[in-house]
Amino acid sequence: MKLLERLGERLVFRLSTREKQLLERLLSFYPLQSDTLAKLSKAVDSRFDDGNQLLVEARKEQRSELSGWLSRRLCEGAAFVATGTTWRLVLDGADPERLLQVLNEIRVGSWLKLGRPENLDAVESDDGAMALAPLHGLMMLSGQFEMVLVHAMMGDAGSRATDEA
Amino acid sequence: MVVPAPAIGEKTKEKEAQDPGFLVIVWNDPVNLMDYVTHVFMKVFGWNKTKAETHMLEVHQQGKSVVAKEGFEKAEYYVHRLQSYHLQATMEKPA
Repeated sequence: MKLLERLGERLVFRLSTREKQLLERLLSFYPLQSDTLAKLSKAVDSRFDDGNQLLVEARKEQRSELSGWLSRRLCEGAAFVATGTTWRLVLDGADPERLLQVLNEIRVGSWLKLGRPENLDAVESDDGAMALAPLHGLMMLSGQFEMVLVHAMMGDAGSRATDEA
Repeated sequence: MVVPAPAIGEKTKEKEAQDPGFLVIVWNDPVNLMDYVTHVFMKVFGWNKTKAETHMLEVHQQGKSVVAKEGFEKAEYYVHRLQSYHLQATMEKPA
């Protein structure tokens, strides 16, 4: 997936048919995350009870909204335009931000399901890793698409290494 | 000559002493990508890339970064925004 054009908030990418299929397959796993991260504070304080509940509800609402957007905009192919043997993905307005959030939830969701490994490379080399390979693949692939999108949004075509923070 | 601090500053100090507010903290994790975290900081706080990268590196190297100090509601708002991007963010009372 390569950035072809950036005009204000409008981003146009070129994808091969294989990349388009991979992206669509990847997005079909959304939503993938549990709500284990949804807490306002590490402190145990009853003042946070209502806020914690609100946070969980906000995440559910966000997922519902993003799922609807995904099916309208991407899964039904509205954002893809065939151009000979390749495809153009046109993202406008809030689309890039939404796609980024979806991709990152797939990445973080895969990581949570993998048991929150500290060393992401160790997952790959682990003897019992075969069963986890699909999740590891989802995590890595979503990260690759994320980086292309983030650099395009930042106006930074150079692709730095995909280190983790 | 020592110029006395403006009265408004004293009031603010008094208020802060009574209610120090909450620190919004972003914690390190091994899964969120560095450039992604920078992007989120720019989006949520309106920071420029340099400031956003400074805080991102603080998270990465020191395990956490205090990204805001606010009253309850504003701190809660920031935690909501940051968690909507799947960053591990919490609001904590200053030690």
